[in-house]
Amino acid sequence: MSPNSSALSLCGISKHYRRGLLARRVEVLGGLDLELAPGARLGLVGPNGAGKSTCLRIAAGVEPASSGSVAVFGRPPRELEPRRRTGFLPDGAPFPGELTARACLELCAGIQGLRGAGARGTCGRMLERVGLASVRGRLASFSQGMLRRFALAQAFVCEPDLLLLDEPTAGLDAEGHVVLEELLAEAHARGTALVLCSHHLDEVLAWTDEISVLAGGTLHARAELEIDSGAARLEIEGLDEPAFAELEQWIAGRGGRITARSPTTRALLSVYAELGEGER
Amino acid sequence: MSSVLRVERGLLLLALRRMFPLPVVAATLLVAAGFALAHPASVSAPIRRETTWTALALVALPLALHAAASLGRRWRLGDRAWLGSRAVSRGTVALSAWLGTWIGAIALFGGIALLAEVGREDGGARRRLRALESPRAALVEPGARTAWSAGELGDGEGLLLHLALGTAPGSGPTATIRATCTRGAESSTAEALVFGRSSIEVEVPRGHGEVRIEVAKPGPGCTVVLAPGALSLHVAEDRAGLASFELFLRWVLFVGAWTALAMGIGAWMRASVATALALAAALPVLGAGRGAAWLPGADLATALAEAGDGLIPPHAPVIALFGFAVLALSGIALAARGLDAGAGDAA
Repeated sequence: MSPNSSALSLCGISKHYRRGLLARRVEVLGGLDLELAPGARLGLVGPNGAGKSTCLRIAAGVEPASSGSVAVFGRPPRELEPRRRTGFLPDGAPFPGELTARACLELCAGIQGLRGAGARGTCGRMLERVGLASVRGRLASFSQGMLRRFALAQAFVCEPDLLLLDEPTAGLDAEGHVVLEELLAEAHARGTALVLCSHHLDEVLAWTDEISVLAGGTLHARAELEIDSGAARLEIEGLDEPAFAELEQWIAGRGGRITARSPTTRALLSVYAELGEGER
Repeated sequence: MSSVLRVERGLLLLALRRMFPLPVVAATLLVAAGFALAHPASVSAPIRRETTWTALALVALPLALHAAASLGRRWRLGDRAWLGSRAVSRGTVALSAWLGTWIGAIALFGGIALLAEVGREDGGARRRLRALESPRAALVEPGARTAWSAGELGDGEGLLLHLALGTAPGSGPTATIRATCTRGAESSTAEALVFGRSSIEVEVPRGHGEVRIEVAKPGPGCTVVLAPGALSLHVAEDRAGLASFELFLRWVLFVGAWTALAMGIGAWMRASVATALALAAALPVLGAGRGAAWLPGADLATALAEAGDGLIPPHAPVIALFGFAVLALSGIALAARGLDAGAGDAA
């Protein structure tokens, strides 16, 4: 791998399937170009059927592109070396239901090259983090939320250099949301590159540095998110009702007005998480 | 695609686990218990051995083939989504999955071998080494005899010439037959009363050189008939249970080769169709006979019949290992390619 190679490079990627009795051609991606530098965080948004999941599966080497070239850290994703450095969270819950969470996580980690007593410890800690350490049943008996937590564990357990996450919060409860946020923060601190597909724009805004909009199989826009340091916009957390009324009055007195007011997601999540702790 | 090929223990164990879902385990235990408890005294041990092997192996075979053929479908429906992005080649996935299925099949057929031998007294028996040439002859008159050369048979302890004889219908109920085996100056003789389909065994004298055999009807009695292929070379063995061991080895090679092919076919089509195709191709092989020695399991029908006759079948031919390797590798290669072939159809 050359030192300057991208974490992920998609060049002119197209993908089509054959459907139905007459093998009708259905184009999912058409000439998609995408570059992701090591450590960069990209959010991929778009309507249903835009090709986000297909794009991630191609990047992960799960399925080949119909045309175009894909490189993960400068190598084709079908090679083993880039795969060792990639963590993929697929859509849905396709994991083998015959296994327990621990057995399946150790299997996933083992395939990625994490073996032995150290691997068992790492897997145990990861299961602890996602709240599945004490769950004994097989994956087939897991709820959707538990499966999503497991999906998080298998994607992050080997501390990959590239994370490809497809709707990571789908079916995830608030506590799991917090865990995901922590895992993403740690991965970012390690310099892990991230592609995050989601329908939830607030998640993408919170966890990525740039956003691409995918629709009809091509990228329509890509924008870097910048924190506006001017005085035009202000976000404030933690005010109670009387304090808020006072602030609103103060702003109105100076010719301004409050255009939007909503409980912060973070604050809600904290309350939810505390409630969950209390129940246990 | 990387060509790295290795056995991934976790995937092997997963395939092994998938080979035995709970209903299969329950059904297997039920059938096994039935066979283990049924001990009709009127049925001889060789017949019971042959029956157990024939009945249970023909149930276990489609089960093993279907388990192997289902691996491709499982890959398309789910495994690719979580396993397809991992640092493991498709060849490794196919090899590990096949090994897991094969080990499961070995356990299954090992269980059949135990069932076939459970509760039986393991006395001495004969192992059939090979067929020898024999003439077509009919001993009609008292004092009639026929003699021929069995060739150089090599020196060995416990070598026996086994001669299958029959009586001509309508010529009388019985006749006494004397067989004499001569090698150089040494000779050995055996006598037997022949009725219907019978056999006579005579020891081969130790030493080297051409072995001659003479069959005579010293007194009056019915007409005794010798057919070509009636003579075979046997060796005495201490344990009759070795018959099940020989059958087990044949099944292991046979089922190993065909589970790989079933898995390979299953990676390209529906599991039920792949199982049917693999079975349709595999079953004729069972009766192919010793002429197709390179095909693993080609002499299984003959070996089963020999076990039913109270004989220990000869060792499986070494060339069958070559056939096994070729078929197994072809199946694994077909599966490894097939795992990717369905990628274009994914939703």
